[in-house]
Amino acid sequence: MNRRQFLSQAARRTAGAISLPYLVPAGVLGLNGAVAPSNRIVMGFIGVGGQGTRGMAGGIWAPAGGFIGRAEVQGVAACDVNARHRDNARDLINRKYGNNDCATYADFRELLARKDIDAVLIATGERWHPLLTIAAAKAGKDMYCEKPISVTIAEAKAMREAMDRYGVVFQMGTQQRSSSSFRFACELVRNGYIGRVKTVTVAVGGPPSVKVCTLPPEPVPDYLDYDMWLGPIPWRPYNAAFVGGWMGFRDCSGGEMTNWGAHHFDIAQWGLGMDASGPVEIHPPNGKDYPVLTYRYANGAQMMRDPEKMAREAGQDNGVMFEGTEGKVAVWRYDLRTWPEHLAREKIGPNGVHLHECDNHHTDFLNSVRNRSLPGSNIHVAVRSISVSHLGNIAYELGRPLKWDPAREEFVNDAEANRMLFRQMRSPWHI
Amino acid sequence: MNLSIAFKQMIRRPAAVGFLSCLCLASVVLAAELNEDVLQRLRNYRYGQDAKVLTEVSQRVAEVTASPGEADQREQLAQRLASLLETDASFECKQFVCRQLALIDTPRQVPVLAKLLTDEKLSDMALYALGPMADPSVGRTLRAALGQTRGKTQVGIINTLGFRRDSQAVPPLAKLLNAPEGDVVRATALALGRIGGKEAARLLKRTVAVATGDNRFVVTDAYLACADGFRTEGKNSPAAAIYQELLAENGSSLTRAAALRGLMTVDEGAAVRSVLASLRGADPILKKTAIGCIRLRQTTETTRRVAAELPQLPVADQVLVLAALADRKDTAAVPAIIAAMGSDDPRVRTAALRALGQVGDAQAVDRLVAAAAAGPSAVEKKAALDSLRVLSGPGIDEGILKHLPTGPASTRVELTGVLVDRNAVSAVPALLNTAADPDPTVAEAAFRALGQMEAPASLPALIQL
Repeated sequence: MNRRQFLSQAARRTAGAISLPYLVPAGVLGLNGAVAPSNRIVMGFIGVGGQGTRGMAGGIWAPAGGFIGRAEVQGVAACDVNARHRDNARDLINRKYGNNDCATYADFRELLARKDIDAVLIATGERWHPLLTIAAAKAGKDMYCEKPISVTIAEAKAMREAMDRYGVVFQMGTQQRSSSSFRFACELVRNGYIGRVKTVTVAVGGPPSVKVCTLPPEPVPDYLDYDMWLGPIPWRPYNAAFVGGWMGFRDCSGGEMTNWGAHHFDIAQWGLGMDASGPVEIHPPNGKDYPVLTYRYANGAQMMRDPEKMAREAGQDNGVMFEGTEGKVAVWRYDLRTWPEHLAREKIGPNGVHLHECDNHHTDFLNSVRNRSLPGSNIHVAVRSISVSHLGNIAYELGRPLKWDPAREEFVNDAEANRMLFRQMRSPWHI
Repeated sequence: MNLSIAFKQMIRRPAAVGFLSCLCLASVVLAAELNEDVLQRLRNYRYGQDAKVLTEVSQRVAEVTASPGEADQREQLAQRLASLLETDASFECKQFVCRQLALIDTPRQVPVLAKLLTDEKLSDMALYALGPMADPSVGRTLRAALGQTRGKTQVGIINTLGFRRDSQAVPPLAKLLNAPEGDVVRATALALGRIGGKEAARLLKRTVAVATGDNRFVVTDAYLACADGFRTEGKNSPAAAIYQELLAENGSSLTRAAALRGLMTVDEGAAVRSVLASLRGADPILKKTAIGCIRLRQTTETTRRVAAELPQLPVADQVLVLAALADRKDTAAVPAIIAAMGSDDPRVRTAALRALGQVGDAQAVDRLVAAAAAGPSAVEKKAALDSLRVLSGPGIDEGILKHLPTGPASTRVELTGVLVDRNAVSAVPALLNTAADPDPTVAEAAFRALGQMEAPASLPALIQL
């Protein structure tokens, strides 16, 4: 289907009386675990490679059973530019329900045009996430979008505009926000149990290893729509290592700064109480007073990307460590350690600061779909935390200190840095 | 080249550091001059070949752009690279050069890049270089190219003008709103929405009135973008006018829902009427948007008006609205929540009990304890206890303690657990008394609670018991 056909369907969908199902919470009907099909949240899945399939049907880094493992969800469609991926997803869904009802699509616009789909999982890789999520919002779909959410800050902001305009539910796939250990660690910090925060150490890898892919051309496999796979990024010929290792190339990704950074910078922001703000200075390593990437916040707190430090002091090289004037807390998947030790046994009463609580990230999303509330990793949180990752990458690329205005979400008097807030997309794609 | 510049190059290109470090150092020396040999190798570069020349050029670009005082060197470098665009250099070379020109950002190369705008294969990369450049000549160039291009290349230019929010592009874009190609019309509408302003809004308003089929939603979305733009600039009045216009239209539910959300953020009083109407109505998109809108703003008047609507709504909607009122954390909702606790429907009563925990204060304790003791179902009793756990403000612990000595034993056992979960250390003396309660289940619960609260001062008294 081309865009004209997609829009025709969308127009017909909205022209007359709407017959979308109104979501009644399963518990309201007292169904005791069994959910009638008419009350299920109907989902489509866009991007059903590794992480997409795990989110859909369960696996590492995803809640057990995935979305289709839940009685309150009905999976009906899988979309991927890779025919093998989408056929695999179709088979998983059909096996789950014992039928052949799952539809497959090569073009996301066809899936989004379906009136019966309430929500989508989007897991294509961040070069596509902004375009897909904005299109989903304009189709009135709620969405669970894998991290990282974007390749640039401008894209993330455009996503926020669309979510706010259409009021759809958006959950970023940062499941640490639904983990009791991460939440408790941040609540200890937010309630002052470690005193005033001096430093936050974030243990993640760095930027992508290659700016421009120079791999040789290879024949495009017949099961792959390569032009759609590329989407908005500059054209280059197909190469299996490029497609399979896209996270290592700057056109496609922010590397580990965004891959794991989406998780751990997010937790750092949560603990610092910066979900509506961000740092004011970013310093790349300079071999002198800044040995590692360092962010400064207006409240004086300093955040460093330093996996070696966390490994030395907490015995973990993947996580977050908050150090304050009166203590320290380190947290990783899925445990924590405090200094002094008794902090780990603290109970925070109802008059303290309590952060968004849920113990399952998919449940949190589905609750919000029903209640029309903001989930824990909503678009506002997501934009701010991925911005931290992108700011760090810009500092690495420019090799000099930067000043950031978190209120205006732009660099201060720095045209060169501000040019790096967005990227030109390959026509016809745009945000 | 001195070591400090060399070091800056290494930091700036982590790829070179990690993977090509030896080559990087050598390249820094070689790239000091972009000589004919380098240019020739770059001109002939193809994917899959040794990428050393790309690294050399990248290093040189990084070097000159890191030195703000080296404007002449920037110009020379840009000129030498741009000269390749007018030769029979490979596609790969030209693509790479456009990337570098985007970084160097010198306006003198705009005319050379402009020539690529009509090249189907290279137009995207020309825009890649031109799009981020702030120089006014870029805007002039792109506007001029609008009439010289068609299809995807024209759409690319339209998108770029929109992203640059080029207000001078509004007149030439206006003509494209009547283009025969649907893709062009839609891209133009979206660009105008992004540019925003009075004239763009006027054009889009006119177009919304006549748009049909594929175009209608896109043009309306662009018109909403104009309204959102006004709102961002603090111009609430024109924003509200557009939202109200679209809300009143017989357009799609999605559009009207977006207009409702927008109106809620600039004119809450006007929006609440529509929120209530949507709650009463049958359109599911508007209804769920209305429920979301309840959480958007904080005026007490809205809380009261929505709360007053509760009894009129279907059960399922009452449950959702109660949750939304709870999220507003406005105590003006408390009377309505308490009234809902008396509903005939257990689902509404349960939702009300949960909501009371979010917005209630010490005065809510007695009602919640009563519900925990005598609620008609286990679900409602649990909801009441959960609310007692999270109720915040002064006097809550004392209010719960009042009920420890009396009432059903099972409830008193539950209340000791609530006090533990609240970390109510002020309850220790009362719990010591309760530990001597004649009912063994209550006494045992009090002992457990004292142990969980880790109150060392209570140890002597516990030993005595």
